[in-house]
Amino acid sequence: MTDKDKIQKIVSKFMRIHYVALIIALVVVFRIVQVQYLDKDAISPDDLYHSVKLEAKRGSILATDGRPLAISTQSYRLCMDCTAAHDTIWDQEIDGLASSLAKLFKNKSAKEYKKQLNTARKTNDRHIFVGNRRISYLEMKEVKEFPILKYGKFRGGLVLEQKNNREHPFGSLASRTIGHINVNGQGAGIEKSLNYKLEGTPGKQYMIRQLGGQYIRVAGEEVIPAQDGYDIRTTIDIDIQEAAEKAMREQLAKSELLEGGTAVVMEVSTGAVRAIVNMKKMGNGKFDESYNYAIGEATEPGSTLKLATLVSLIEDGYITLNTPTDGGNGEWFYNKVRFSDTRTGGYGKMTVEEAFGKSSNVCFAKLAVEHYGQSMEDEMTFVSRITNMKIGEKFNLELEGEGYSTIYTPNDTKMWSKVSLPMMAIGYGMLITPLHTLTFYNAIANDGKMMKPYFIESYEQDGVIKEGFKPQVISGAICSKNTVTQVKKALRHVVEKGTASRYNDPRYEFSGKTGTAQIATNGRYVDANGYRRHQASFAGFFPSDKPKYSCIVVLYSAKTRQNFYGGTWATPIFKQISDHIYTTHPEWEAPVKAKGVKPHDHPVIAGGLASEVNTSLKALPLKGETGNIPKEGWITITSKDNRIEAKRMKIESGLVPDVRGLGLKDALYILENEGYNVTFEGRGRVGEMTPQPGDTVKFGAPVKLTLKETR
Amino acid sequence: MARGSLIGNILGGQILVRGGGLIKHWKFVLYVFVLVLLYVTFRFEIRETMLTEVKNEEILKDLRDEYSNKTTLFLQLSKRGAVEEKLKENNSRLIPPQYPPVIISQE
Repeated sequence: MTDKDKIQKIVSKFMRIHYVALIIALVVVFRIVQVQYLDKDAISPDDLYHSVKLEAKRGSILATDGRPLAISTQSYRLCMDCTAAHDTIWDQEIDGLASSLAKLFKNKSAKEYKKQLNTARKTNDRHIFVGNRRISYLEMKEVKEFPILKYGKFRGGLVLEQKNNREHPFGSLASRTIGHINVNGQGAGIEKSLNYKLEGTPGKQYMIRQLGGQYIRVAGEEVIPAQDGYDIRTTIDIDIQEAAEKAMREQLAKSELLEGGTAVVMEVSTGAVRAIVNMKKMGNGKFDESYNYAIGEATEPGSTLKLATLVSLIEDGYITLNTPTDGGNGEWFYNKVRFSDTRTGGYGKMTVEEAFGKSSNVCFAKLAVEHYGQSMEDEMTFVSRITNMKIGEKFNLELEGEGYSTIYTPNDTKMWSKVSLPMMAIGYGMLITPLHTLTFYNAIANDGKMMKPYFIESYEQDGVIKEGFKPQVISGAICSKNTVTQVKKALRHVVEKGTASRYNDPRYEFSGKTGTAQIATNGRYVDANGYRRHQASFAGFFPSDKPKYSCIVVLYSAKTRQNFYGGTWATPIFKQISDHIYTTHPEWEAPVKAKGVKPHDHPVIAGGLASEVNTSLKALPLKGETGNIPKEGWITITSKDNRIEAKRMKIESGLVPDVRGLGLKDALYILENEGYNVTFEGRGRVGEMTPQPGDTVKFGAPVKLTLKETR
Repeated sequence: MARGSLIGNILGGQILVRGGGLIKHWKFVLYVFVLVLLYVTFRFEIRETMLTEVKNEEILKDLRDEYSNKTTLFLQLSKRGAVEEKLKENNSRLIPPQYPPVIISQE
């Protein structure tokens, strides 16, 4: 073969390759033209593009300190296609999966789960619901590591159905106030009333499909970003709320005759509601936050409203606390209606202060009739006093369901009778909610200045206040300062010597008034069989000299022949709440001055987190040298010859860390995080430990710490 | 150049050798070619960036969920009632305080 032939042969081969490439290119071009122009149904724009709704994040409901009361999270429904896994994988790993599921859900044994899954596989069930509840995001991550399910959707049959969930980190705490809302917009509480602030506005963007099925945003197309909902910061103090709820539950559990109860704690100077508990007995006999008694249940308040009568009488100059009054034999008839006191035989003669302390119906009915019962104008004066004190004022609360108060006047000819005046004087013949009563007591505690109760402090976004709400004054002075001083003394008398004296506490002073009212059903207080429904209450404030919080507790009974007195049933709840606030707030006692106590030149410094140790070192008056102190991590401190040295702690899995010299809090944190079961004795810092530092110990093994005082 | 021979030249590749005009402007052809290459590269880069953006958004959402879940869990555990229950379970002798905390001020 000549060179020419050889070249010809090579060229010929190249040409063949060239033609093949050319044909492929032509086919590609033809296919492009066909797909784009000729075969229009093959790929529609909808297959490539679609608009995506950008979900707005629902705002959280926060407590006053920023801790979330309601927060939006994702939850997942765990489902499974039991036919997806290969036989080998299924046989090898089904036991592991069943045991993991049993451990996660705790509703069935591993054996039962294995049976359920095997049955589904045999019956070719490609979508079964696993477990007894939805799982959280963290649990979902765990589930993805379970045997079989770890192979994913196609090889393991894992199916996760995602759903937005409203989580309540503090469980049922203040759940009626927080409320709820369904997809149709029906609900209650803040979730419903302020849904328009919480829900936000969804956005929109266009996405285009890429090779491999992923989607990216279409360049140049307008993107409407989602606007997240506002976080709503409430006035609720979680710690007070928890204490109030606990006290209420414990008290309600003491009698099967109790149907429900409410407790509200208000900050005196602002009217901010720090806690609101509403418990109603459900069909199953358990109590739940299902009805907002505090703001919605307008009833006759009973003796707690004798305070209004007392204010009126003093304000009009008719009486002082020392004015004598006569409770007689405990019975008094006025226009054929019997007014009676609790004590058989009556209280006899006493001062107004004592009559208030003993909650004498006879005395207060008599006083009202004596001073306001002479004419219709006099009666009107009394009613005007009540209304001028803004009792029953409409609050226009942020929450829906505010109950209407009803205060009759002598002009209401249908409702006003000859006994309306003395009835009103002892807290009957008018309808007001517990929140109205509390607002009135709060005004007395606040030296006559009535504040509007409120639940919402601000609307926020990413921690920035978008709209804040300030305390609002309903009335600058509901009565004179002199009257306030006198009624405060009377309210203190109730606790010192009156109906709440059993709960007088030497540690701190509180003031208030008990109330025991009968609830009318179909216009009658007592039915044909002698059964009555009671409302036991206590309203007051603490500490007595400079009130910081006011509180009302109301309990509602079922029909019974028993008595439910405010002093016996409601006051203990009030006391438990005030005790909690007293023992957890440092402002009750004046700060102790450490004057004259000279700090040590070389205080013994405990090890701990470097950042905290450095803070101590900066604050303490150290004399001597300080070595190099690390700025982060756990450190131990040694002090020798006026020199302080720090060393990083070694924390290795399986080896007991050396926590000697650390405070108990830090030692517990480190050891328990390493999985040890820690016990301790003594006081001071960690002196000795068993097993010894550096020993190899299994996860979950006990570690005993002996604490010793260092100086 | 006849049409038949022009097609033949294009298909046969001889145009690269014989097409005087094209050869004369080989630098421009190369420049256009480089531009095309750059265009394609940038397109891919942008696509990759956008895909990463989508993935990051997913990760961010997951992290937010994880944060919310952990916050919820920790808050449940830190509730005073929950702590008291744990102490009771562990037979702790700790009792609730009877007196308020006092602030010590040092002059």
